[in-house]
Amino acid sequence: MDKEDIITELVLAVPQGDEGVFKKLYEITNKRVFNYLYRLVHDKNMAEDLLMETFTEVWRSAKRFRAESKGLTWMIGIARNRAMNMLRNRKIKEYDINEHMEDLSEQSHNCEEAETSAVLEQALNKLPAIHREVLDLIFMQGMVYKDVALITGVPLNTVKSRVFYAKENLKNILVSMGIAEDDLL
Amino acid sequence: MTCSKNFYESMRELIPLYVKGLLSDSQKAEVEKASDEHPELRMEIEQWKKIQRLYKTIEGDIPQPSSAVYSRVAARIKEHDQPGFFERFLTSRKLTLAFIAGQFLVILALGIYTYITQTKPEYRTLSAPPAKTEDSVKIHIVFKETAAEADIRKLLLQVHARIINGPSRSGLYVIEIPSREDVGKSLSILQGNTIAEVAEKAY
Repeated sequence: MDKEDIITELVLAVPQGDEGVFKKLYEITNKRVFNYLYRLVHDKNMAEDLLMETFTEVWRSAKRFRAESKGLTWMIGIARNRAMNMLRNRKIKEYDINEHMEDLSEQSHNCEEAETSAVLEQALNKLPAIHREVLDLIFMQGMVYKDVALITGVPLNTVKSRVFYAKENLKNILVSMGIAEDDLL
Repeated sequence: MTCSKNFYESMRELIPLYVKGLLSDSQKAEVEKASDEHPELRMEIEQWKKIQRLYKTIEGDIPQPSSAVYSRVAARIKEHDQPGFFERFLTSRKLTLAFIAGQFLVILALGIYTYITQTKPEYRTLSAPPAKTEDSVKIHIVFKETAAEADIRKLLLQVHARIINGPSRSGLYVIEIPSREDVGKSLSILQGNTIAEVAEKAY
């Protein structure tokens, strides 16, 4: 049984009310859920609040989990809903890449001296949220396209095209930063 | 070597998952074979590997969640598990039985009260107050034509009388006074008043 299956089994066992099971589920998943939330909101306190809300909801709703998806996929889906509600309530607007292009160009002089990974990280963080999210789910959560589609609520082909355009966007951002794509990508 | 566009696209789509190690063995072999034949796919793999390495760096930069978060979660779920009043009511056998017993007592008390207060059924019309024929006395009275309504009312109130019939064509009213004992006194008041022409006990 791999780790994903263990998580699913633990979620299925939560409705029996054993806090030990729930604590174990928390211990093996909290970092992954937190990473996902932190990448969405970029604020430690907010991500911790959302983490707490997510696990409270997991406790409350586990009886409705039918293992039609993996346990972690279901949990990340809850985390995403919570985060979207919070962001909507706080009216945090999507970072508009076009509005900030000018700033990025100004920074390009410093980029030459910067570490490669730092530049790439900066560029990655400038991706539109819908593109960043699919990459986060694949490369941080280790999710396949089907899981990503379940979490984001979009068709499988949309997920695939978002992955493609995420990389294309990343190239464009790097070019706009004055870096030749071959240097980094 | 040539291959269909669809095949190339499907291989390209699999590369992020290949790099992350999320493909089955057969899919992995397929991607590797395709990349050996297509330098574009090899380049694509290298690009995604850079992105993957980048994610490893990013993951290292993400702070750890505070260890206090679980305590907060535990407190919240304990709070959630505390049953509310109605939940406690529905799940507690004792409370449910007490409620049923209470209802039974209320119904019993209402039954006893109804039995005591309504041993003698009383029937009456809705349009008129009950006539107490046993104690009341009827009096025929004729008022002067010039008598004002206010004076008539004042006189009737003085003897606690009420009109129960009339006026007839000749101006005769039948009034009723509530107590037989007061009939003599009432008659003398009526007969002594200037607005009454005639006041006689009805038989």
